[in-house]
Amino acid sequence: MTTAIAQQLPWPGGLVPRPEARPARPARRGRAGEAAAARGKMAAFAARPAAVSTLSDSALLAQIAAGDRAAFQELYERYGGKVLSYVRMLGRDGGASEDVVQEVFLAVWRKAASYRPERGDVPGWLYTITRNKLVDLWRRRDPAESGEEEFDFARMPEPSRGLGSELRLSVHQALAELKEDQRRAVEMAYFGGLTYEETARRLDLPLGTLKSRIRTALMTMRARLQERGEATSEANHA
Amino acid sequence: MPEMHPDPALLLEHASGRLAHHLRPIVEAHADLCPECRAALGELAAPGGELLAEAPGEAPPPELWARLQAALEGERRRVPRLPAGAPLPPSALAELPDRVQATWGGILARGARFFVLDRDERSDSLLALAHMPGGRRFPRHTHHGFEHAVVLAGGYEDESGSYDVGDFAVYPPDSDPRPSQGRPAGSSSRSRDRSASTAGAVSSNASQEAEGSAQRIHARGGAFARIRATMRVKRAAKYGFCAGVRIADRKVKKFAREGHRGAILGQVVHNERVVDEMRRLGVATVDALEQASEDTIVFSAHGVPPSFHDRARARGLRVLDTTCPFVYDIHDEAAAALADGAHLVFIGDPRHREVIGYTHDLDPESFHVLLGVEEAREVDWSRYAKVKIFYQTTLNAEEFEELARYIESRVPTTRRADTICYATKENQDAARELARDPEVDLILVIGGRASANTRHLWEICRRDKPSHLIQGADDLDPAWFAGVATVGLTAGASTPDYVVDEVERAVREMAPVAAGEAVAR
Repeated sequence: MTTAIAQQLPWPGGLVPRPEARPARPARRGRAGEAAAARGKMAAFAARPAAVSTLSDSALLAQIAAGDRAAFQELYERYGGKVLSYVRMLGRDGGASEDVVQEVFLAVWRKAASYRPERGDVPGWLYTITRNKLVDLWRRRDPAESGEEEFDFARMPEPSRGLGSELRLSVHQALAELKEDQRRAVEMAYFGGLTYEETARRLDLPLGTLKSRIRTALMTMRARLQERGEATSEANHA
Repeated sequence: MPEMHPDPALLLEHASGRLAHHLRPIVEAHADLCPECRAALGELAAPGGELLAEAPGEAPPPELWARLQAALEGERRRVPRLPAGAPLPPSALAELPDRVQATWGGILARGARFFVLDRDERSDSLLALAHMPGGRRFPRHTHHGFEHAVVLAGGYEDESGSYDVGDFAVYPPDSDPRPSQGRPAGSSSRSRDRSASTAGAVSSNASQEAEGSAQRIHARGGAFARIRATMRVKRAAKYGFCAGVRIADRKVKKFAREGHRGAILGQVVHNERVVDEMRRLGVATVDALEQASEDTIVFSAHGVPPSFHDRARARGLRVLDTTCPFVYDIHDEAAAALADGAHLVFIGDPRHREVIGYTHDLDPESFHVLLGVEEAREVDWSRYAKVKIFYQTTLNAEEFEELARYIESRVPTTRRADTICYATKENQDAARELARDPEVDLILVIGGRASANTRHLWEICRRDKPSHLIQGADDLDPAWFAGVATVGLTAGASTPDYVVDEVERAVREMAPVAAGEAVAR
């Protein structure tokens, strides 16, 4: 089954595990197989000091805030490719995907000092930055924000497969478990490229209703992803 | 912590990148000041973060890293030029355009200023930082779209409510610049957001953000918002008078209110203003019983030698006794110790009235009043078989541990009285706690410069925060308050509450100077 799903994926890079170090969920760290695979992928990319690589994402941000270029490079290596994949996946970049990635990481450099743990995991913080830069790009391209492109959910990435990952609920699965109207709303406006106004029009919902529906859906997804994350870590420790 | 927050829908838009450009710094600034909304943003971004984390991550082309490094070099030269002292939180700063003109947009009526940080022609929106001097109004202005604001320093109030640091305000569009229309959509805990369509202007000591259509500032001097440039003030959990002095103070005031006239023997506390206040109330202060021409003599909280009660009676004076119960305990225990054959040691100031109260009637051979180990060395301890130690109540007994230990080393049968009053220690502990409160930026210690316990409080506070020792509101220096949002207050044991109240009022009205301005986006 894993293979079947993998073959459907549009990602040129294939399956690469998530980084091992995730500060807010320490239980997910340290899966040796994943870590090794990740290092293999990144080795081609740039050499980095071994001492840095064991730091959590948030520890890296703290060093970046202090002006540490090596830490910055490490964070870029962990997430630069993922951000690029996401931006390309949305298919509206018109060749500017790399510019978006550059802007995202420039913003990381500028904002590292203001990151606080309450703001959630570093990937979530990065997601907000990435979305901001993407929306900036779209607005530059199309000031009216006509928002014609619909998010193609078939291109959503499957979760990486690693030891115990079959127990984890991926974003894809968490989405699939939502009610149909919630799922479509989240796909279009939260993950995808439609504005909230356009999404509301397509789903024939008042704008306020749409936003509260999306918020509810996101809270549900977050809870399920967290539950599954905990179950996974228990399985890994068993 | 802020009490006015962005609408949840606004947070969703920001987490997913859809917030209008000029609103981003405002929401980020609010999030910097509001743990609750930081957490809400984190939760809303979590599924997106999960998607990123799970993404396969193709290797970016190597030239991208090279470009990024070049961009970082450029960062070194990028210094957003801001008005001096503008208290922009770092995350808001990061959202600013690369080139910010470094001039205030103008001095408006009554000294209010604004500073345009960004202007977006496409959406006809404006991001500005505004500052109002304390007690001033921001000039009337209109905005055709929504105006959002976050208070960065100080605070203000208008007909919709009161806004302090971190508070997020939303003002709906108004086509008619009458003040009554410049009312925020909601002044409850969350302002309603009417979607991010348009917004407008600047209103307060707060940072304003204008989204949407034309924003005009009218310097016509109408009253748009009544500004109260406030500092937040936090008092130490315990400060000033101890419970005994407070009760004494109430007793004397009640006595005066009931129309009685009397004289207080000695100052109620060592504070000229309290003496003046008592005089106004009709209770004079006399230095000796014999000076009292009234028919009642007031014994202050410090207590008097027991013989004074007899002397008062002998003169036909009625007695209003406000002696602190703790002081009476010490009198009683000292008498018991004497009867038990002990030599008495009072740790305290021999000239202090409380100590005089303990010692005046005693045989000079039966006690010592000591403050330091050096003094104790001069005493021939071999003469005493038993010693009992007492502490003047306004001292912190812990600080005289060395002295007490020395005496104990010389006379092994030494006992310490268990009638220690903890009031001074409580003030000190509370001052320490205040100084370590992360919200407190500056501490004012109120009390006489000659007051030892006040100076001690000052020393404690200075260890953790910038602190100033003042005698009252007149000593305040506006320059201290640059960039300060919350001021901590404590007071020495002889400082009456109304002096603390006056300082608090003066601090709240203090115009945030220079760095203390409100920033608007």
